Amino acid sequence: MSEPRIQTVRRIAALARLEVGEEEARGLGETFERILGHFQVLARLDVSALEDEVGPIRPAEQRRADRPALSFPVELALRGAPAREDDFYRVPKTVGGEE
Amino acid sequence: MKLVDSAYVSPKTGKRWIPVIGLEVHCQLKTRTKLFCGCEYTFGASPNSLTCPVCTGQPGALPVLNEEALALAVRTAQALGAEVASESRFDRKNYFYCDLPKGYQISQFDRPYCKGGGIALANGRFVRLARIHMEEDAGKAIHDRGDATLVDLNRAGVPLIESVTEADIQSAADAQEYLAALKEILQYTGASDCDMEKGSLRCDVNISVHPPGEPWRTKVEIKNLNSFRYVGAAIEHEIARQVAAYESEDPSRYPVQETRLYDPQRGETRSMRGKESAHDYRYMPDPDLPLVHVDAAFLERQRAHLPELPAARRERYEKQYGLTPTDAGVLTSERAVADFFEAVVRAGGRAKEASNWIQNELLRWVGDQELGLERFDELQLRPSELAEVVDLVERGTIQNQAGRKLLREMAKSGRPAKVLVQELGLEQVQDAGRIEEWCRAALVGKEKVIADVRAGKEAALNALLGPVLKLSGGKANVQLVRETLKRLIAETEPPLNP
Ligand SMILES: [Zn+2]
Repeated sequence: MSEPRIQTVRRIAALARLEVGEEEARGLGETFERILGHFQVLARLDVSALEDEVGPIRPAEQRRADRPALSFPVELALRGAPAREDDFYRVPKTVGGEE
Repeated sequence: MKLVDSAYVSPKTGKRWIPVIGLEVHCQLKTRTKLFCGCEYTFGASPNSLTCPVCTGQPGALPVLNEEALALAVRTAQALGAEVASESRFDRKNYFYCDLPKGYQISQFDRPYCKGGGIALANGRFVRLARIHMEEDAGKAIHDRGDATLVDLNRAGVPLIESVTEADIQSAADAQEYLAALKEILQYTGASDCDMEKGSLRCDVNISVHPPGEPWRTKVEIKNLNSFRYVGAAIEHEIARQVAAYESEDPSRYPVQETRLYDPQRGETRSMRGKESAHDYRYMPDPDLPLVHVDAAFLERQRAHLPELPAARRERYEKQYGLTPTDAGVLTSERAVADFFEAVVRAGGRAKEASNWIQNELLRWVGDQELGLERFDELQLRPSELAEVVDLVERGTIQNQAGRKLLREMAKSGRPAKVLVQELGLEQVQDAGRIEEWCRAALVGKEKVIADVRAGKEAALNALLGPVLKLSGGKANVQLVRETLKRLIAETEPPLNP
């Protein structure tokens, strides 16, 4: 396993907030290599004249009027919360912007 | 002649440094509902009571653009002389944080809805805008409640526009002037209420310094600036900090590219992270949203909504009403005030007097506990009522002092001027007999003043006005009092005997 590949795994893991062990990183690295290998096929196409897009078609353009609709009752909103305190979602301490 | 610039002169070495400053301003658009869903946002609502499948990122929920948000964004662009793109796109800005339920923020990356434009400062400098884009706000994470972080998603999805200037700003004063002008425009166009206390206007600053003629150096970003005063203070502190760091000639102290937080208590900035980990937001076009098309008809409709903007109004007030630039500036700084002023003039109030009364009285009431007035537009006084009071004072029916009392009473009680003048006994006394009585009483024992007036020092009369007004309960007509005093002094020769 090449060192740069492991580096990529580590970077992606950091961005995804995943803790990845040494052994796991190697395994993921191989998977990554295979997946990215497939994408290399696409890299052979000349797309310089194309705009980056997510698909051949976009959803039809529609807009909403600025009219209020019903929101979730708080009980329903918090039903999926991992934990709850008063009417807040309660999550592990994560101080703003700290990486 | 010397070219005036905003170079910073080092207190230590006397050397000149050129600050280079850019601003990023997030502004909340004044729509009823969120950017992509129908949740109605109200500041201070109970936590997590304003969310739905879209703004909490439930699987399968699809965002649909709020047309009013687009309209307000476009109007702002037009007011700033910017160019609105006929086609723009929403992108996903990916990052993980507990206040961002979808794991990405819908924003605009390389195809924002607006480019260019800017604001001219009084010193002739023009602050160019690089771009403005639309995006949704994140939720609110609260960290000061015990050992957990609490999350309220009410704000998640609220519409924002982020405007980014070129680094055309050179001083704290420039930055504050730019922000004040931007705020005026946002309020005039109705795009935002710009209430910084409610977080509807937030500002980040990019700043670097370099010696004249040299290339730009490393820029530092300062976040957490929630008042214009803090922006000014943070910039001043940061310029001084960076200059001192370079002048130490210790490279380990030189500014590094980083994000710093302003701490208003200490009046300084401090590093947010030990080492800046480069952000990788992995922007990608949002496949859930169509491209945004703005055609000529839409632009025209929005332009029709634009009010006369502050700069144009100021110029007109000077020309049309003969106001000084300062007066015109104060009156136009808030649209509600300018509209009120013009309505007073339309109701027959003279412009100069209306301007004085608004500035000396009405504007000072803002923040007044007794009147319960937090903002000017909450004022319970009609423009025609101010015009009436101005007229009563002009005609001499009531004194200036009484006019102030009357106006305040009208704002407090909402009752008409005529009734209150009677009730409060504010009407001026014009009765020559009573005025003469008060004047005679005031002259007793004032030989020195009398002698002075006889000797031609008319200003000496002023010493007698106070006592007369006091005797009259503030109601004697000042002009009549003056005339009466002069007449009595002239008539009573030889000197008055006590
Ligand atoms: Zn919602």
